[in-house]
Amino acid sequence: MNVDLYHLLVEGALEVIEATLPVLALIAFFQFVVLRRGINQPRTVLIGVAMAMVGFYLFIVGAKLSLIPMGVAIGELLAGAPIGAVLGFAFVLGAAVAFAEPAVRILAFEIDEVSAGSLRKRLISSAVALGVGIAVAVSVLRIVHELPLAAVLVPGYAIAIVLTLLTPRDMVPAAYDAGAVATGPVAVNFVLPLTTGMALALWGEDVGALGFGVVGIIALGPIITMLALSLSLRRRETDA
Amino acid sequence: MSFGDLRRELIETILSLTPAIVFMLLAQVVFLRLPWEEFALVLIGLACTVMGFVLFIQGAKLGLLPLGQGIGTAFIERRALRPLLVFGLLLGIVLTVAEPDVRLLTFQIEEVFGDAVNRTALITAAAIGLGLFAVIALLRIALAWPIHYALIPGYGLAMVLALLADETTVTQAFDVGAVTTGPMTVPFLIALGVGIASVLGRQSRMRASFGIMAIGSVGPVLIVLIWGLIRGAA
Repeated sequence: MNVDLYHLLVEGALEVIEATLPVLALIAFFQFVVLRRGINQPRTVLIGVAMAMVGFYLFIVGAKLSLIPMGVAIGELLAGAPIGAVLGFAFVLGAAVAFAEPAVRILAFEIDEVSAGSLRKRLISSAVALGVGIAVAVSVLRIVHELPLAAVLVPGYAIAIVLTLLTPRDMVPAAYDAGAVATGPVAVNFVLPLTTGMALALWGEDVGALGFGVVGIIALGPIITMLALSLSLRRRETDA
Repeated sequence: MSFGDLRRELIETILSLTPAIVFMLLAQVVFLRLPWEEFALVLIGLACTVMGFVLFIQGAKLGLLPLGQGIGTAFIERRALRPLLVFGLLLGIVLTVAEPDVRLLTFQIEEVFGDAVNRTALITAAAIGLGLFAVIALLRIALAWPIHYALIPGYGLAMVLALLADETTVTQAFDVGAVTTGPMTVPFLIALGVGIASVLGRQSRMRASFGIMAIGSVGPVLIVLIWGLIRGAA
C-alpha cells in the first residue's frame, strides 16, 4: 500500500471546490436573483456550509486512506481462497452491510408505518439484507466465471419487471427505493474496492471492467427480494 | 441541529461502518500484518472518514437543506409548477456533482482505467440523467401517475441499451446510477416531492416520498448508456 499523501491532500481540496461550488452558485442564484430575498440566520447557514465542506474533504481523503486500499487488499486475499469460502464471505459481508446501513433502517421504519404494520421492520430489513448478500455473492461468481454484467442484470431486471406487474401497487415504490438505499458509502468504498481487488488479482492487467458492476447488482438484489416478499404476503392474505 | 443530533449521526455512522471495520481488523491481524506505521495511517483515515461523513451530513442539513427547501416552498406556494421543475432539474444536476459517493466511485474507475475514461464527462452524464428524472419523479407526484409508467419503460430501455453497449459503459452506467441517489440528492428531492404532494393534497406525505429515489436512479443509467453508445459509434 503506497499512498502519495501530499498528492491525495491537494487532490481532495480541488475535489471539494469542484463539487460544492455549483450547488452554492445555484442556490445563491435562485435565492438572490430569482426570488430576490435575503437569508434568514446567515451565520447558521455559513457555519453549515463550512461544516459540509470540511466534512466532505475529510470523508474523501479518509476513504482513500482507509476503506478503499483495505478493501482492495482484502479482495486480493480472497482471490487465493477456495470459492465456497469466498461466496460465503461475500454473502455475509453484503447482508451485514445492509443490516448496518441507517438508510435501510429508516426505509424499513417508513414502510412499516405506511403498511399499517402488515410489513414488520425486521422482516423488511431481512429481505433487503438477503438481497444485498445474494447480490455480492453473484458479483463474485460473475468475476470468477468472467460473465458480462448484462448476463446478470438483464435476467434480473426481467424478473423484477414481472414481479412489479404482479405486486400490489402500493408496495412497488418502496421496493425500488430499497435498491437505492442499499448502495450507500460502504458499498461504494469497501465492497467495490474488494471486488476490483479480487478481479485484478485473479485476471491481472487485462481484467477490464470485470471488478466493477457490484454496486449496480447490489441495487437490484433488494428490489427482487422486497417485491417477492410483498407478493408472498399478499398471496397469504388472499388465501386466508 | 443540536449536540444530540451530532451524537446520533456519529453513532449511526460508526454502526454503518462496523462490518467493514471488523473485516479490516480481522484481515490485518490474521493475514495482512501491515507494518504498524502503515496501519496507523489506515486508522487515521478511518477516523477522518467517520468525522467527515458526520460533519458533511450535519452541515448540509444546517446550511443547504433549509435554503433549498425554502426555494422549493416559495414556488409551491405560488403554484408555480414550471419554475419548480426547472429548479428541480438544475438542483438534481448540481447535487449529483456534489454527491461524495459519485466522486469516490469515479475516482476508483479512473484508478483502474486511467485516461481511457473521462471522469468529468461521466459525472456530467450521470448528473444530467438524475436532473431529468428528478423532474419526471416530481411530475409523477403532481399528476398522480402510477410509478409503473416511469419504472417499467425506464428499466426496459436500460436492458435493451445494456445489450448493445460495451462492457465498460454498462458497468459504469449501473454503478454510477446506483450511487447518484445518496445523502445529498435524496433529502432535497424528497423535500420537494413531499411539498408538492401536500399542496395538491392528492397523496399522503409518506406515499409521495416513496419512489423518488427509484425513478431518480434510472436516469443516470440511461444517459450514461446513451453517452457510451454515441461515443462508441463516433
